[in-house]
Amino acid sequence: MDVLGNLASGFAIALTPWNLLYGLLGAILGTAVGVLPGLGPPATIALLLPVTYKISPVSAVIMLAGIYYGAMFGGSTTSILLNIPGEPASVVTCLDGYQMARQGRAGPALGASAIGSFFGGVVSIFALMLIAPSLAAVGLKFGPPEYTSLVILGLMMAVYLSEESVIKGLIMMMIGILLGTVGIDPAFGAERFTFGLPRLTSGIDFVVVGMGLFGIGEVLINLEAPEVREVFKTSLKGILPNLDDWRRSWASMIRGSVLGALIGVLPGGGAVISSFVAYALEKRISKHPERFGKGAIEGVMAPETANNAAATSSFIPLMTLGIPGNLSIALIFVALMIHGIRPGPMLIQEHPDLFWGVIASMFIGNAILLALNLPLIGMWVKLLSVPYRYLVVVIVVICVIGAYSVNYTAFDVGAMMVFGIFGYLIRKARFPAAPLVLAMILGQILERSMQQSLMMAGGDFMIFLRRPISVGLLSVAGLLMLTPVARRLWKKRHRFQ
Amino acid sequence: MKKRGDIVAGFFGSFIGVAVMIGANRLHLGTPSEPQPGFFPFAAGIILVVLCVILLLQALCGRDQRTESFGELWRPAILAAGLFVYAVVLDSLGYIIATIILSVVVLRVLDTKTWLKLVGISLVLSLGTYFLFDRLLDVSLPGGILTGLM
Repeated sequence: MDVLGNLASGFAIALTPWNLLYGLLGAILGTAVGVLPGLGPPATIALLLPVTYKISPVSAVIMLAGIYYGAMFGGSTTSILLNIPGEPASVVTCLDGYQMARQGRAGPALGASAIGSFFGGVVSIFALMLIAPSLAAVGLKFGPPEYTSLVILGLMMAVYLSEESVIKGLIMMMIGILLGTVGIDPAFGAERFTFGLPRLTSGIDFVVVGMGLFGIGEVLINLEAPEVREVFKTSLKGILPNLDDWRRSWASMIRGSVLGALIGVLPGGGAVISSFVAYALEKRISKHPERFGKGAIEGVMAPETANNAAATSSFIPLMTLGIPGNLSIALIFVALMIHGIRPGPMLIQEHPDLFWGVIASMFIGNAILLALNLPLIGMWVKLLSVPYRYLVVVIVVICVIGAYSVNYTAFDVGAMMVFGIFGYLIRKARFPAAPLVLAMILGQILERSMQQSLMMAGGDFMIFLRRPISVGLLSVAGLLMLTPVARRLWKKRHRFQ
Repeated sequence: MKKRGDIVAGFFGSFIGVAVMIGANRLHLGTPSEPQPGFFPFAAGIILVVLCVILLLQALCGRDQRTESFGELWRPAILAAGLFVYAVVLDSLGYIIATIILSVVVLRVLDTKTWLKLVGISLVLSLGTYFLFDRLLDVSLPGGILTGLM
C-alpha cells in the first residue's frame, strides 16, 4: 500500500509544529479574506509571497494552499448574511443563501455551506492523491508540442469561462501574453520592450499586475458609488441543517463534489466557474426549479461544495503538468519557482515530501476550517460589522505592501496604480481581467515550448497537428472558440423559422 | 453611444499591436526553424491586431455589447492621484509617514468626519502594518526620514 505509506510520511511532515502553525495561519487568513468582500485569495497569496521566501517550500505551499481553500469556506458567510459575495466563488451562494437568511434560516445555510465545503474538500483531496501520480506519468510523455497545445487549451478555457464576450477575452489574453514578454528574453538574453528602463529588464511582475487589476481596480469601482452594507440581523441558533434539509441536499453535496473536482482539474477552471456550473446543474435537474432563488438549500449546498472541491483539485494540473489553471494556483506556481522547484511531471518523484506533506496538510486544514466555520462562526460574523470604508483603506495598504515587496521598489507601487486604472477602465468596457493575468504566466511557458517544438520540427508548424495528443488538445480548444459562433448562427436560424 | 467603449478599445488595441510588431521587427524575427527574440511577440502582435479589427467591425456593425457608464469620478481620481504621489514620496518620506497620509486621504474621501477617527485609524493602520511586516515578518519597508528613530 504505497499510497498509505506515502500519506503517513506526509502526515509526519504536516504535523510538525511549524507546518501546523502555517496551516492554521493559512486557514484563518483564508477564512478572513473569504469573509471580507473586496480582498480575494489571489491578493492575499500575493501579499504573503515575500514572507514565504524565508520559509521552507513545503511550509510555504501549506500556508498558501490554506488561504485558497480557506477562502472557499469563508466566502459563503458574507453571501448569506449580506447578500454580497465575500469572494468571487460565492457569488451564486447569494441567490438562495440570502433568501434563507431572510426566512430566519441563516444558521442552516451557514451550516450547510461549511459541511458541504468540508465534504467537497475531502473528496477532492482523495482525487488529488489518487489521480495526480498517474497523470504525472502521462505528463512525462509530453514533449514541447504537447505542452504548447495544452497551454493553448488552458488559455482558451480561461477566455471561454470568463463570462464576457469571447473576442474581448482573447484581446485581454493577447495583451497578457505581450506583457509577459517584457524584460530579458529567456532564450537569447535580448532585452524586449524595456524602453531602456532598467526597472523593466526583469520584466513586469504578474503580482503587481494582479494586485492592480483586481485589488485597486475593484476599489476604484467601489469608490465611484460607495455602497451601504447591512448585516442581516438574525439569531444564529440551530446552525445544523435539519433532517428535511439533509433529505433535500445530500445528493447536491455529492454532485457538487464530483463536479467541482472535475472542473478544478480543467485548465482555466477553478473555484469560481465550478460554483456557477454546480448551481446551474442543481436548478436544471431539480423537480422544483421554482424553489431556486427563494431559499432552496440545494442552491447553497451545491456551489459551496463545488468551489472547495475545485480549489483543491486545481492543484492537480499544477503538480502533474506544471500548468497553473487559475490565478491563485499561478501564484503558488511562482512561490515554488522562487524556491527553485519547477512544477511539472517530475515534481511528485523529486519532491515527495512536498506533494504528500501538502496533501496531508489539506486534510488537517479542512478539519480546522470545519471547526472555524461551524462552532466559531459567530467570530466571523462580527468581522462583517466593520464599516466598508475602513476595509477600503486596509485593502489599499495591503496592495501597496504587496506590490512594493515583490522587488522592494516604489516603482512597482506606481506600476500597480497604472494597472489599477487599466483594470478600472476595462471593467467599464466589460473586458475580463482574469485571462490577461493568467496569460502573463502561461505565455512564457507557451513561447518556450513553441520555440522548442519549431526547432525540433525544423520550422514546420504541422508538428502540432501530427502528434495525436496535441491534435486532441487543439481540437478541444478550437471547439471552445467556435461554440459562441455556432450558438449565434443557431439563434439566427431559429429566428427566421 | 453605447459602443463607444468598444471602438476606443479596438483602436487602442490595434495601435498597441502595430507598435509591438514594429518593435519586434527591430529585435529580429528569424525564421520558424530558428526563431529570434522578435518572433513570438511579432506573431502575438498580428493576432492582437486581427482581434481588435474584429471587435471594431462588430462595434461598427452594431453588435450589442454591454458597457457601463461612469459614475462620480472624483473619488477614484483622488485615490489614483494619491497613490501616484505615494509611489513618488515613499522612499524619501518612509513607509510610516507616507501611509498615514495616504490613509487619511482615503478615509476623508470616504466621508469619515471626525479628525480623531481619521488620524487614529491611520496611525494604528500604518504603525501596525509596519511592525507586522517589517519587524515580525522580515519584509523590510522603507524607513525614510524616520530611519534610525524606529
